[in-house]
Amino acid sequence: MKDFLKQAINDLRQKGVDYADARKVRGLSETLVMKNGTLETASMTESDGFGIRVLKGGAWGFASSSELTEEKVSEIAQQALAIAEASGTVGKPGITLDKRPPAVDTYISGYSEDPFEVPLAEKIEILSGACEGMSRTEGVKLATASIMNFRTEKLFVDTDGSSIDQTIIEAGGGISATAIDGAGERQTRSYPASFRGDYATRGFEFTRSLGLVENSERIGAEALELLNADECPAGKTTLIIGGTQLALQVHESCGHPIELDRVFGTEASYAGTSFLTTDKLGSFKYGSKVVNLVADATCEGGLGSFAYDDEGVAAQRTEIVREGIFVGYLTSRETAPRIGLSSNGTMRASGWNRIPLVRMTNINLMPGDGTLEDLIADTEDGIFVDSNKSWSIDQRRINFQFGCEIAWEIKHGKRVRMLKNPVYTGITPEFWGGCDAVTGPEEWHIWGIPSCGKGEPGQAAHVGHGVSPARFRNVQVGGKR
Amino acid sequence: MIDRGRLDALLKEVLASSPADETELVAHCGTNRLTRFAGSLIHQNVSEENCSVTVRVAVGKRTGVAVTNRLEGAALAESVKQATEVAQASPEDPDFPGFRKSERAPEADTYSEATALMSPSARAESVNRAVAIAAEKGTTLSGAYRVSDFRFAVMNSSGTDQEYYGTDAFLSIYATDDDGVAGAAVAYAKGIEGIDVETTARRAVDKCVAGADPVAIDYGPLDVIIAPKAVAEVMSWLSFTAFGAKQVQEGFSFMAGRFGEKVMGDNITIRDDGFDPAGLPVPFDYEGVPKKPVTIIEHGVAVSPVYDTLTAVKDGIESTGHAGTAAFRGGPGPRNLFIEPGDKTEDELISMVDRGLLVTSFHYVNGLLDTRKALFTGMTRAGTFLIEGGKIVRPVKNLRWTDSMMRAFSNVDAMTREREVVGASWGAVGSVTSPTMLIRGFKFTGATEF
Repeated sequence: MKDFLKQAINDLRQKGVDYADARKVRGLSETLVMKNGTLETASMTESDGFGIRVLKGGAWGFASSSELTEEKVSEIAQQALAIAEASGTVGKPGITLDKRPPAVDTYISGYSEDPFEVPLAEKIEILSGACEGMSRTEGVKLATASIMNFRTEKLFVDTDGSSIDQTIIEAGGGISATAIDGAGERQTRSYPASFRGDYATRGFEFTRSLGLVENSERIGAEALELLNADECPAGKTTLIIGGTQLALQVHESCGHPIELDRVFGTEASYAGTSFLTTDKLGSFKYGSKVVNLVADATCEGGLGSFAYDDEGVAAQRTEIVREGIFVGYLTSRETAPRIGLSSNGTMRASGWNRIPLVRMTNINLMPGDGTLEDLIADTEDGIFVDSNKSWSIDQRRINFQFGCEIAWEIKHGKRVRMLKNPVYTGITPEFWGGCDAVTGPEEWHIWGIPSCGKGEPGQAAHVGHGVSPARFRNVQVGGKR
Repeated sequence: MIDRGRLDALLKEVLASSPADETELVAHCGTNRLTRFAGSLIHQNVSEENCSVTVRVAVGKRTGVAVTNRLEGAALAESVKQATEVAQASPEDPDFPGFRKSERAPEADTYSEATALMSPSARAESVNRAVAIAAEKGTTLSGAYRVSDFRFAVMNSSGTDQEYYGTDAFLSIYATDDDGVAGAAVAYAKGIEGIDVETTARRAVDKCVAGADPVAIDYGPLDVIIAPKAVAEVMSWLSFTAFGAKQVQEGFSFMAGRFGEKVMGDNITIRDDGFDPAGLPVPFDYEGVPKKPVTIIEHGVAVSPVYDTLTAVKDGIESTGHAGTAAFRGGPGPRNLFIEPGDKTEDELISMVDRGLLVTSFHYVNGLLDTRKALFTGMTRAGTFLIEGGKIVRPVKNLRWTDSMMRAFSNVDAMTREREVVGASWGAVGSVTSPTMLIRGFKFTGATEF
């Protein structure tokens, strides 16, 4: 297949295209979801195919097919060229790409235990054990445990001479317990994170390390405790945000607005644009002095880690916010030159049938000092929230609202009671401007989110967020009126 | 792509030779073509042809699923073997009802040949026409024009054998001025014959022009008129959180335990009808069961969720033909939703508002805050206007809202008689046909800067 793709790229070069690349991607995923001891979903999904992207006359075309034959490769290359030519009939596109050296490489992500080699019975035993543990608490009506594994094999060639083979293995899982009372009120507790857990670019050793069974009884008990907890009071307060929720806060209020394609309006009609316009680069006060953010595709095990992006650009680490000042974007070969830079390697496609877009890698809030318990002890009056329940943010990523699974009231440096249904809201730069403490490396963890949505047709990217719990002053919790 | 005859022969051969006790094959084959534009230029322009088969097998009451798009040689048979191995290793599902034989689904008007044949240059030409309209008013356009054509087939070892050919066409247009003020409009239809590019572009551009220089207003409960696009976003979430039998049986839905009770206002009737040509027909589901019409809410009373076979057996009834893919058992869901209309025009609705808002669309709706209360949040987007004394007086900056949809749909004072078909957010094919609504006292809870 590689030879067919190389031939197609050569043919396109002969036809005078500005640039062309071809990717063959085989994706394999395993999804196991057990609910109350019944295996609701046990599926293996394989998707194999190729896509060819052509830049001609400054305009893009892309075509793809699941049929892996020489004839089809040739036909799809012609289709991609015809589509690029059609694109060029609207206005004067004038797209150019930055220069970068071609890469010839082979990469396999690190893992100890291939998740696809672990017997299904062993995975089911983990899920069963976790469901049993959660169900030990009377009042837990739904005990759900899930495991997902991914294997992605990518081949990339382009007219610049790149030829890259990558194999990426990812794994993870999670559990959740839902307690329901006689009146139908329900509360859910999840571990290690909500919406099916935590994921990493590692093997099944990562899933084992999560301790899904070991934590299941505690999670079941917390679900019931939450059902009987007091409602989270409304008002302006000091907020401490735990790792799993802070990961999503970074995702929505930092990760998306720094996508440079989005800044230039390519998602305007769908996902939206960004308040971090290019005039703000290097001077805008995004947050307080303790806020330092990086985009790092080189973090070992991060779900947004890889060797090369889907334009053949090597993975990189880029500063995004330095001591509160906005200093960097996620970029591509097309967008970076428009602000005088070179791509920092963030273009990724969710499969053979999608074009690469600027996507988050691992967007990390760098750690400060101390432990979570130190931070709580240092807080006179506030609320500690964790585990995401709902999320919403405007199309420029300014006004956000998050609901969380659980909260604890803090008084005089101690957690005094559990609270349910916490919701907080804010304006992104004001919120990060109120961040006065980030806990230290001992609390820092890269949370993996395998479902970041963007683009039309839709694409779900695997991204990571390294965070440690942090404190924010003067945050609106609950409704204002 | 693999032709129909070869695929059918392959599916029948694999079905006959399956080592499992029961086997179900669901094939989805087709092409998706999409032209995206931004800044009045085409920046993404893509085409995809794919054919995938979802294999579900049962060994006794143990089930397994494998999905593949590799159809050459023995690849599909290998997937059946893989699904069988998964089933053999799985615990028994005592509720598994077996794969049943379904009668052939009636024909439905689902296909437009012109849509299947639409070329990239024809889509570019449509974009050019829209861009010219935008340029007349000094605005630029972004958006997408998507066309798809597909064959959907379901076979099982009990004798079910269904297939249909379908197309759909979707156009979204988002006009912006130099200050970033936006106006949006969408069109969705079975085929390109139902897409009026010029009208859609003019609606978006007019909203954009009218929205210039928005002012901030104080938020709180306000009367609001919401357009069909905004209603559809809420309905898409309710389809996910409330209208399916799985969500009801698990106590997730606001309707759980409330059937026969008033959950919305007298004037709200919501139904799903896979064969109603006023929306986008879908003749059968992922189990091959023909669609039955289901009244979900009638005059504000919760009547019934939609069912697949598994959830139907649990409630002792027949499936209504709303199963989703077996690759992830999310439960059944509606696909061709209708909200019964009122008797007003949009102007009449506006005249009924002393002080309130007209909202074109919502952004980032989330329905997970409290699913038992249908407590949602979201933002207004691309065309929000203040109404005073029964007239639109000025554009306003966007607001956040947080409200129970049970409460909001209990406070619908009036609706338009005219409805629009809007593509649902969930799934490749699915539509919501909705009027414009006037809701009294909708809870706005925050503001943004634009």
